Amino acid sequence: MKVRKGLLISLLSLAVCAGFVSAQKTEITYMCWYNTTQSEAQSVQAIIDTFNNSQDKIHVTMIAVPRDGYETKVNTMAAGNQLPDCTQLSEAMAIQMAAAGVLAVVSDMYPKNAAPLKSLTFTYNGKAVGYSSGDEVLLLYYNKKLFDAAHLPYPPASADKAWTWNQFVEAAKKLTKDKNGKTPNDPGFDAKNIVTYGADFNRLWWMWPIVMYSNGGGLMSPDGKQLLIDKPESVEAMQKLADLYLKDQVSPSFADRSAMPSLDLTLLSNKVAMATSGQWEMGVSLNNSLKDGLDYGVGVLPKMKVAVTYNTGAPYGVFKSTKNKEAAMTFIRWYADEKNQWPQITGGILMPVMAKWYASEAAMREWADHPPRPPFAQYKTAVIDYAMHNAIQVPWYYFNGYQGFDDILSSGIESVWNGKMTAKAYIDSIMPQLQKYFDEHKAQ
Amino acid sequence: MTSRRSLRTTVAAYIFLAPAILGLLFLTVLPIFGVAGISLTHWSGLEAPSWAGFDNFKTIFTSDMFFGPSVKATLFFAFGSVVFGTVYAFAVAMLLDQKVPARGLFRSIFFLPYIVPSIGTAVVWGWMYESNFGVFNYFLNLIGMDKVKWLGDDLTATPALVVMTIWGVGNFIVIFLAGLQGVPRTYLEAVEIDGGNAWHKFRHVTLPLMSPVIFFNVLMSVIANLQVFVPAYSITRGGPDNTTLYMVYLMFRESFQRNNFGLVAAYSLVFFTAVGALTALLFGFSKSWTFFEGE
Repeated sequence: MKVRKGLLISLLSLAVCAGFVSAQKTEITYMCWYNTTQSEAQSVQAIIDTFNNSQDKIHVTMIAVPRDGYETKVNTMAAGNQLPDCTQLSEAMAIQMAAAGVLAVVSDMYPKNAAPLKSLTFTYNGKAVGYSSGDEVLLLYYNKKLFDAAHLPYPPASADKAWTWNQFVEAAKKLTKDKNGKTPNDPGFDAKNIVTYGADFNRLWWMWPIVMYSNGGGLMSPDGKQLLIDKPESVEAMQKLADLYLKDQVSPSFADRSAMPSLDLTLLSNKVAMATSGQWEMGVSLNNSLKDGLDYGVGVLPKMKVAVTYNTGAPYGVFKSTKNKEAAMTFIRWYADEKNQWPQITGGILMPVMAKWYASEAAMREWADHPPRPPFAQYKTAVIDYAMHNAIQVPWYYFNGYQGFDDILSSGIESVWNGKMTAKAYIDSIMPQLQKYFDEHKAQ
Repeated sequence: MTSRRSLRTTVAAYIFLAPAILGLLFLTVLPIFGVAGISLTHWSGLEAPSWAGFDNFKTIFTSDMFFGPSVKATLFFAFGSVVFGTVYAFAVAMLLDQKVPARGLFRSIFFLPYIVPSIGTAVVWGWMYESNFGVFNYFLNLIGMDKVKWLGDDLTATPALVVMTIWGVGNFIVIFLAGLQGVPRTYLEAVEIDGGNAWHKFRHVTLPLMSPVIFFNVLMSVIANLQVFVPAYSITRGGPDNTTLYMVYLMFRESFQRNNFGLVAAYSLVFFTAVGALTALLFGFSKSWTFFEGE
């Protein structure tokens, strides 16, 4: 009787313990940033709550940090051995963290036939250390009404018909107007009082080098082992870009452009007829002015020799210090799944990362055939096909320390944009520093 | 009995001093040794440091492309802010020392900028300087002048930030005002009796008697303005063309955003030495022009 009672109590206790253990979820932390206000993180929290409530094995706690202090926060946490399990990463941070041995290899996060596009994989020493959270490509946006008023054909919406640089400049000249309605082709054109700029080819630090690749040059080779920036093709491309303002008089100065408002307002107010920027503009800015009458189109970038664009997308990463790598990868896999980010994808902010969303027209229409995106026929050729066949990676996918590289590249670059130095003189002046930095950081 | 009391007094004194001493030790002295140690390493902050010897110092003085421009930018900013800020604060203090109606209100108005948070100040001044829509260019346009790229041009970026800094010198105004009110009226009356005018009063009485206060304000201003950070961080990010790449901002960027803690520790030691030397120089020079009453 006593033995039976003792056995019963032991069995019951064991059952309770087992139940307790199995009821205990694996706790992981996920760090992300918000751009302006902490309330932005609430939408992320809502998605995380959905994950937490949808299963009982993993519980995720969010750490939301302002974008501005993100790198500082991550570095401080690393120094204090307090890194979260997984995180959103800026593109420029990813390879640097991998090189420091802080990021876990995540090549086993996805089954081989169901992985994100190869172009969206951050690799270090041949191994995947992060996948972009979305696909973004650089595109040419334009104000249709200005083109109609000037009786000009719209910029081409497919790479095989991409404008040459000269065609782009000619169109921009016809669209540039001073306060008297004159274009740069007209005598008496007043370059100090331009009311509408024909073109703005984005000179943002990581965007503008695409012109070098388009001209057969580039910043560095795709394997990150050879510097290409001092090739004549690269220098020529940089000068042509600067000449949009300096000689062709179709672009605002770099300082004026920095002071312009968001793309939708810039196009809507006729400040600029054509502008290059990322796919995200459709969901982040252009959709805001549709109700005010913005009628925009999207085309491919003008080419110098090769029709090419950049693709990019901030990655998710898993830190090596995590004690729950499987749980962290499970969460990231779920979080990155397009169906869990659907409003951002159909809302025009992101493009999908998994190949299956590009495999058939039906699949593409499911996420792309929605406002605020332009009509599907145009979007398919100008954006989807362009991204699939003509996009190259921004060097931060494979180069360790791209931000430091750019510190040197951009240190005096405004003197090129403002005409104080030629592109050749400028690149010659920074080459020793650039080469030294490149050699210290390049892939071995 | 007496020695026991004096021992108790001594112990009590050290107990009361202990928080300050411990604070100085752990928050100032030991960290300086820590920084000196880090300066001898290559350290990204993400992995263990590796020994570098004096490599970082060699880099600073030979191949580093930001140290030189940063020192130049910082000195240019500090010189402008100290000189013009001191003159402005002194002039305003002299005006506020006059018997004018609503003097108290004016004193408050001139002091207020000092208590506005520096980030808020920087953001709003950044908007005012904005070349397309800012209020300064709006007024320039109204009088028929061209817009100026205040923060986008090498030549105007730092002067623009200096003006913003001078606007905020309320603390120096108050200190100057206190000093002016300490100038004995008898000396000023003596100048009047001797037939002197306002200039003689200023040159031979006010200025010499104010010299310790001027020295103090100049010293504080030099130290504070050499450590300028907020305008570079919140408005210009070191641009255009590194003309606002001030030292402390460079240190922040290179350490927390470029993971180069070893090099930054070396920067800070070099900077600390330079500021210390400048302070010593100021103290040395001050003997020749400051007049302490009673000497």
